[in-house]
Amino acid sequence: MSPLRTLSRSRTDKPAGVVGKVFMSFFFLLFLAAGCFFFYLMYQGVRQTYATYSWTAVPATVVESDVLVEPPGFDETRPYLFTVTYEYKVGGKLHRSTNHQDGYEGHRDYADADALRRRYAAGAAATAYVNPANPADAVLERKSPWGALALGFPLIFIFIGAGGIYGTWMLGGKTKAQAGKAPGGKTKRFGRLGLTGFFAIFLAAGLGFLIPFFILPAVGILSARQWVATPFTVENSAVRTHHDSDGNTYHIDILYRYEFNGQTYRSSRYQFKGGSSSGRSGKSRVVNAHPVGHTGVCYVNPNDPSQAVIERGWTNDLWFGLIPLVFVVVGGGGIIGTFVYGSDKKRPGREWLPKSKAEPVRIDTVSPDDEPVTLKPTTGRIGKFIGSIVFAVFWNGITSVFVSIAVSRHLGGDPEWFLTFFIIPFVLIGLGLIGYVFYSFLALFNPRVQLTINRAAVPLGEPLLLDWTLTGAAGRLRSFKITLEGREEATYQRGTNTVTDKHTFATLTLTELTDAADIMAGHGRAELVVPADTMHSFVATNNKIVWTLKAHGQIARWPDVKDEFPIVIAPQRHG
Amino acid sequence: MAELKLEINDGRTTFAPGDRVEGVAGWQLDKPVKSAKLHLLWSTSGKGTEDVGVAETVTFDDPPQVDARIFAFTVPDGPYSFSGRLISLTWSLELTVEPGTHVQRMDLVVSPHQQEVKL
Repeated sequence: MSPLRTLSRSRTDKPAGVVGKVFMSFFFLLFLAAGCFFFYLMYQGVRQTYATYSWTAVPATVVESDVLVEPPGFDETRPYLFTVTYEYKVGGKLHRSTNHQDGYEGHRDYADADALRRRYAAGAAATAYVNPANPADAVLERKSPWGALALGFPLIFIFIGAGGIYGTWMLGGKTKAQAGKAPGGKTKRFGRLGLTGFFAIFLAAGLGFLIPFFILPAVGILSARQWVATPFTVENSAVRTHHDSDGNTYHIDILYRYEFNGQTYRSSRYQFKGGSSSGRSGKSRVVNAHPVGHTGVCYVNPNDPSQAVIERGWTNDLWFGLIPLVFVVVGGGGIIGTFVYGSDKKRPGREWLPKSKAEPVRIDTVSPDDEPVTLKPTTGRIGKFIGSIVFAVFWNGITSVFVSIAVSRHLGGDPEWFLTFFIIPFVLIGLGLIGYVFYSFLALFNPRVQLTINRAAVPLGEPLLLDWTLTGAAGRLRSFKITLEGREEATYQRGTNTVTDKHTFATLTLTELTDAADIMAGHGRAELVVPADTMHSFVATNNKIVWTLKAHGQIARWPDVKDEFPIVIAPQRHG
Repeated sequence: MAELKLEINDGRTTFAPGDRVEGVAGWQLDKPVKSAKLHLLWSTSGKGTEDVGVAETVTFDDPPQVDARIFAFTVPDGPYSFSGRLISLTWSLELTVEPGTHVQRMDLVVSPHQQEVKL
């Protein structure tokens, strides 16, 4: 046997793109450092807040309890203060405490404070949590442990940062075969988890606002339809101000007294919508209409008479509570999309050849491979229109928050010039998106293109036979052209973004009509032989060779017809 | 020091779909290994993140430290080797041993035109 020429490389893998990896590491290090910093701060707060969970539980007896309205030095946003005195024994010694809960400063709603008063009525048995280091220090209630879940937020940043650094340096496959055997493998799982964490932030933030500002009020409004109309008398009314660096917000606070089943109750709930908002004048009108001594009708929950509301109907400001739904949709959709569309569907054999999405035309043929198929466009016009609306709402929804802040500052005589100039490009993009919504709406009324080709996958070097049909107002078209286009699509990570670059390497014209009569005929046939020396269709996770038929119809003073139909160009038939 | 070798009959490196790739895979190892594997695979390079597809694998279990084995693969009908502005696709034979990090790789061209497709 003659000496064999080998063109071989023997190596252990050498690192590629070290500079890029260093930059990526620095980027993820910022995430990691920020996450660790905020986790440390929050952990200190949580540890202090929940120290009472290590205290000893001992039986206690309530001596007295009450609810004070606007006590001296009260917090304006929490004017109802629950007060309690209770006794307990530790080591045979009797102790007395008035500490209800660490950090307690009062309640916004009277009914919540009153619920505590009824639970801890004079003479009632209770449980006190006593500091083992100082038995004189005790609380009746510990803070809800759910607050500790807030630690999850900085943990997400820590995960993204640490995971990103690990993935950058450790997840390159030692051999190409190891990388190919689990397509994506660890890399893909890690990327999927990172994306899930990112979208989880959106989802959690969205739900955190959607539930209290829309869902709970809506549920309350629906259930209040069964509540009982009951006379009330106003004991106190005020507009409460929430002071914030971004500007004040307000809420209506009307304390009223009512009787139900022979018992006297008090409530300060005016409506089901919680929180506070801008617009003091509207709230002042309501408060002025309910002065001290005013009588009216409230609605009482017959199953729990301590719950009552004056305005039980739907109010327009409740619609603003839907704004967080955008974040819920983005977050939830992103998590679903990451797991549904990010999963690798293994197809045996020719995984790299895309599957045709065309529909077969049912006629008698010799072989199923020769069956004509009707192509489906890449994106339907309705899908484009709805997608443009969703994106425009999302973009302009977020931008409008900052625009309203900037405008209110200008109107208040305290302009924020940095914010004003910073927001301008975002506003321009938002206006462009609104314009595109109208553009895609008009395009819904364009003539429709239907393409039928001779087979689902056309091999290189063989004829592509095309039948085209125009439905709708074909006469509006000034010209009509169908081209076969081949392009490369390469997807890669740039920081935290996924970018896809495209390059068209082949454009072949099947038909080009400018004669009105030809276009008005509404159908035609075209044929070309697919070049044999080009590349067939190819699909992998990050790289693709995509072939499409592009139909372009020009319409004067109207969006053009621009439809794209993916087709499969198969390898040459051999053998 | 471990040494891995790949040799293809007739020194061919260009194959058409359906052709047979035949040759000898040899190794000279300094310690015993559990298996040696020879893969016929393609990989992409260029702008996009690398993709890899393994077409076929032959496994040699409990191989002697010094050995040479004949192999034969049938080249699939695709994807073709190609070179574009953004993406290139290359076919390779890859010989590995487990455990260990040594790799012997030999690039091939798979195309009906005796050369990679240029876009």
